[in-house]
Amino acid sequence: MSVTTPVIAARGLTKAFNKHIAVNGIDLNIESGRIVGLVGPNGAGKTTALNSILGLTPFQGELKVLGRDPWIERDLLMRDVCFIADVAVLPRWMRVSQALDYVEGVHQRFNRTQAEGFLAKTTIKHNSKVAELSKGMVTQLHLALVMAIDAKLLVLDEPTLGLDILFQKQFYESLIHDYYDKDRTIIVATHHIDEIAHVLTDVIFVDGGRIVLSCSTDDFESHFFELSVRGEDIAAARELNPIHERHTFGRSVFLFRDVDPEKLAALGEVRTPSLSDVFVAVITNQPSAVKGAA
Amino acid sequence: MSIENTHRPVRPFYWSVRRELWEHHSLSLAPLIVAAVALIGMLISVVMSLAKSLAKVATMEPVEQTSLLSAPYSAVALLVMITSVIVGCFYCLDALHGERRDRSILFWKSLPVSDATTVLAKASIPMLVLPLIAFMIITVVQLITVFVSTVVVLAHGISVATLWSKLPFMQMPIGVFYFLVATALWYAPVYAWLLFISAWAKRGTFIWAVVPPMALIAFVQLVGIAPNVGKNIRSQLIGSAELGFSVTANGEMIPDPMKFLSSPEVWIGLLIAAGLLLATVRLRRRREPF
Repeated sequence: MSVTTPVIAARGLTKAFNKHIAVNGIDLNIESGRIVGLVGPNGAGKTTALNSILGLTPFQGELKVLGRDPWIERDLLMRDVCFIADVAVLPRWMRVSQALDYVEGVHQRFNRTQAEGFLAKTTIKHNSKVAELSKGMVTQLHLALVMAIDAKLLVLDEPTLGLDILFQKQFYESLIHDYYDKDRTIIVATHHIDEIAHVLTDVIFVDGGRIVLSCSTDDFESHFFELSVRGEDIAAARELNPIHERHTFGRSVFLFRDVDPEKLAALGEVRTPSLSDVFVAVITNQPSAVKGAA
Repeated sequence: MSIENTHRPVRPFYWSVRRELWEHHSLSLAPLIVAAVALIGMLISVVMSLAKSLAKVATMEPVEQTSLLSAPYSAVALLVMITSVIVGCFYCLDALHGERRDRSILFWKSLPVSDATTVLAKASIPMLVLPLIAFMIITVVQLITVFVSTVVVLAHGISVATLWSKLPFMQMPIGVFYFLVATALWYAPVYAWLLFISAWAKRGTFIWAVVPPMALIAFVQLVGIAPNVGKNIRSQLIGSAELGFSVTANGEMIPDPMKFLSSPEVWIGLLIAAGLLLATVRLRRRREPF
């Protein structure tokens, strides 16, 4: 696949449940080789958007995933797309060996040797039932199955929800170390952004069914600045239209977007803000939705 | 560019059926248990009284002889069949409901297996796999009984020919097989209806499966379109026996595929089954966990 063909292309993607509009006209273009963080508060429409992409729910608007309509061709699409919906979806009655047999039996691109290699690094036994495994082990098993599939797109929806911090770290480490390469695209939906910030190439903030910010993490550093100010400079900082302001230990911390960092440096200490700070600022500034910066 | 995998053959249908058998042990276990109990009963009766019956048989009409000696074989076959029909019904009612209840539908749907393959694999359990299991169990039980009977007869010094000539050896497996196939076809709309309900209902699958047909029957009865409802229900339940066999002058039931296949009821039922399965496939496509 050439770099210019988008893995996901959506125009006006919309999904309404009765009167509630979960996804409200999203435009999306995700190219191959990206690791995209889809971030939003609960009920922002992340899961609904992902379900449309995965062919689990019908939608309005245009949507092509790897050139296919996911609602019409889910089974064909799943040859090239993998997803982990959440930690609890592996059937509890299944044995680890049966999971390997089954996926090997139905999936052309599944490499059993590789999956067994991943499992060998864990304490999971082949004759264990899923019901006997801990939450963290179930996630390890699911990840081992998915990473052994040579897919073009991997979608993860809150994959580490309810896992302890050790498993969380391991999860993203093995994903980046053992799986990710330039021909693969990963989308992670979560509301714990800082947990994944360091591995992302792009972030998309969603709220109320809309994209409120979409940019690459490289661009992020040249667009957002955090300024920490004391005393009389506070008023001067406010003049520059910060998008957010908070107070800590006698200091005021301002968040700026697309403001000349030279000007800011004159007033105080300038840093790159964390994704979660920008997220909070952007979401609380709703509904004056900010247009994409990328 | 990722390296294109060598195209290993995949068999989604086969593995979808395998996975049903992994999940539902009762599919083979229940008929096996019933057969085991029946076998023990038969063996006890063979050891205790076969010799006496054979002595008595000598004074009977040939037709009576055959029916007396082969009755236990039919009884076992019928017991195992009824068990597998009941197991099949309960299986169908849970087949597409359970995967939503435990959210595993999200795992199944993450794999390149179409909804049609999944639904057909589940439908094949009561219509193909269970009859096959039943056939094997029945045949094994009957063979064991014949073997033990022979030993008992020999031990009593009676000629084996007296026993063997009275047992319809060839007809037994063929008759059982035919009856199983006819029953699977006859019950196809029932299984399809239960699968449809299991894909459709959020809860109370049993109520939804049972109440609408009951209401329909009550309605029909009250309006008086079909006054003899009791008889109709009975013929619905045993349709494959009534339509699939002819009764000879001396009261023997013989397989009659021509009669079965020329009965419009059979074809109407199959048409309904096909429609319901199609609807089930469509439903499954839009189904999410709840």
